[in-house]
Amino acid sequence: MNIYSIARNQLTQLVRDKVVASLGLLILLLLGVSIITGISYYSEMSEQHHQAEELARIQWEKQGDKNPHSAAHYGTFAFKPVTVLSVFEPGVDRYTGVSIFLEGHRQNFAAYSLAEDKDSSRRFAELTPAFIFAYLFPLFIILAGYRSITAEKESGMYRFLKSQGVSTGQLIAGKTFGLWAVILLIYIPFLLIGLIFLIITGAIVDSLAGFLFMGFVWLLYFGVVAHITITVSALAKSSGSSMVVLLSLWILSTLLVPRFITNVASGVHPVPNTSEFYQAVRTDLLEGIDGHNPYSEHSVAFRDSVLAAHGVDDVADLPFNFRGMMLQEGEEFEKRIYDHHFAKIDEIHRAQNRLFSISSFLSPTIAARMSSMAVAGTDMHAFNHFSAEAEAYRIELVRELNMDLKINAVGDRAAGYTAGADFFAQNIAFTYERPESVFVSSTQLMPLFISLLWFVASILILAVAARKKEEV
Amino acid sequence: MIDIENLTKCFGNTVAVNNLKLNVAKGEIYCLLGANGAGKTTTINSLLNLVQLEGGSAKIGGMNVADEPLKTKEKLTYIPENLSLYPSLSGIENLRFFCGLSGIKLSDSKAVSYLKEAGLQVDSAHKRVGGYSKGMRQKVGIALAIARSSEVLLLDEPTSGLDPAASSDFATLLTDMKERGAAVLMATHDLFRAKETGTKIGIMNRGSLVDELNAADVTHSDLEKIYLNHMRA
Repeated sequence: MNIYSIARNQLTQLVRDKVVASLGLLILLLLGVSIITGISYYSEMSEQHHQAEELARIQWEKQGDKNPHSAAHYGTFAFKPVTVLSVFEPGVDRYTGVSIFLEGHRQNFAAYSLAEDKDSSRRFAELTPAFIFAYLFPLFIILAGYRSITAEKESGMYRFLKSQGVSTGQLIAGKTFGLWAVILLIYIPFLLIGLIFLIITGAIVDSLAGFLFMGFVWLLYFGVVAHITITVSALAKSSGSSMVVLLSLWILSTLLVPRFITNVASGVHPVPNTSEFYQAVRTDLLEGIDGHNPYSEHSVAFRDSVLAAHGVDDVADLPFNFRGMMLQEGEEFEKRIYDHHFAKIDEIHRAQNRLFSISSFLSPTIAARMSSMAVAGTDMHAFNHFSAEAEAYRIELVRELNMDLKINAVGDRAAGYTAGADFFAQNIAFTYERPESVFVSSTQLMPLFISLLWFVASILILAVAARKKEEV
Repeated sequence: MIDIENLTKCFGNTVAVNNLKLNVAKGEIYCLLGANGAGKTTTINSLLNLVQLEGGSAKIGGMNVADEPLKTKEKLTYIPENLSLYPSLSGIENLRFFCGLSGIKLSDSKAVSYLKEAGLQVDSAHKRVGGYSKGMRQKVGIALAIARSSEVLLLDEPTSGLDPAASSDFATLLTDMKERGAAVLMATHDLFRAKETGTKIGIMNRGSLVDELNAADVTHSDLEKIYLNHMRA
């Protein structure tokens, strides 16, 4: 009964506090704006993605009569679809690029990141719900809660409440629930708007679990901030010192630790720059067959082995087009080289991510952000998954082209062989499907696990503060 | 109703209350006089179980406050020198909240009637407490005591800073509480109010109860002389 009365009283006071109410309304306004700009960004990007994908396919199919291997050089694009949940958590999508140019012999990095876009509306779109939840909402919680217990002590109310039979534990629990109520007062409308958006866009079935999971992740984070806020307020000597401690913790968790870990990660696990990367690839490519150079040592050895296997002396006597075969052989060798080098990059990213995951122990903000991005499908894992799918498609497409050349460019048709629109229309198209499970690797689970640990730990320290006996 | 036996409380090397023995019966107003630091507030804190005692006991209604902190607190209402209340809540809301802590559900009209009984104007009862004078806040405290049917009132300098009219109103309310059968222990510097309102007067100096008088047996001037003699001793 006492806890309920205190919580209700706390809620009434906070709602009537002009500063807290104004800031709460401001947060709601910012969330509203961020959702609107997020939806606009999502609609625009989905439309652009759809159009670009269609255009790329049309260009592929209408490229005219062409040698299939020339078509491999002509290339096409794979576009990473924008997920509905990116409205709330755009993650690293804006920095990793949204498309990959697919061509023969070469695996490319993604290009056209939105961060390069200078359009002002894009910059405005940086105000996302995830940004507000990670950085601004904790400030609001701190402001609403830093005086929760200290103000009672400073005004003499603490003694008065104790004289009424209220224990320190009841006071702390009541204040905590009161703060939770204020948090939910802002968070529930956001969740409802999010659900309405999912229903309107028809994404409710596919994205509901992810959205609720994301909502849960942020709720855990708010709980951690709220519990720490009340704990500090219970232990601090004055409201001023409570505010200073809490702001210091906010700076540490949201600004210093993430920046520090970023620097440590790039220092301990440096990613080679693009020119270094391609230089290393070029060096390794010299060690194998080049599909375009029939005179290289490796090409000659390969040709001789094929001729011997078929018991002929000239490639013209082979029952298939040797050039097509050699191009495919070169492609497969190049794939192994690219796979090797991209695997090294991938391993570096994994090592950096592991470091980030572990650093979640130092900052609940990192834990919440990483979990939120994982659920939204906008983290590096999701991007790597897309890259891997795009690369698998590239290999398959080029193989299809080379096989056509190998099989059909024989005999009289060998010279000047071209494939037509019918062939290109039949080539496989790239359709990207996100992994079905919300979390795709154990590394992604770690931040969520750490978020839970933070939540439990914050309750424990709150309980310790509540049990602390003091004479008043 | 209030029984303090050989109560001793120290803060470090300082003895705040030394072997205090004091009893307040039902329908009695016991005024505890003494200079700052005499041990009056510590005595009240002991009855509220807000401090741990080095020796002796404090009982309310026969129950040791250290053994039965919640049960003893159910019987009492404490009004400090500055009853701050919650400024963003009205008098009615404050009263309802504090009654709620005791498990008493008050309707708005019932809260108004208690506040009115405690001398607060009805229109004031609806206003936020942030605009209340000290006297008005003390009336909310008394209304709480009435609403909770408190058998014990612990008052720590309740009339300090009140204007004479407000102080007189407060004394009238205390007399009403006494007539309802409440045992009142009031720490005060106000010799005049102690003589006028109290039934018993205790004088504390350096943690010890140095004198105990029946208010009816002394004049204002006698009380002042006795008090000053003790303070100068």
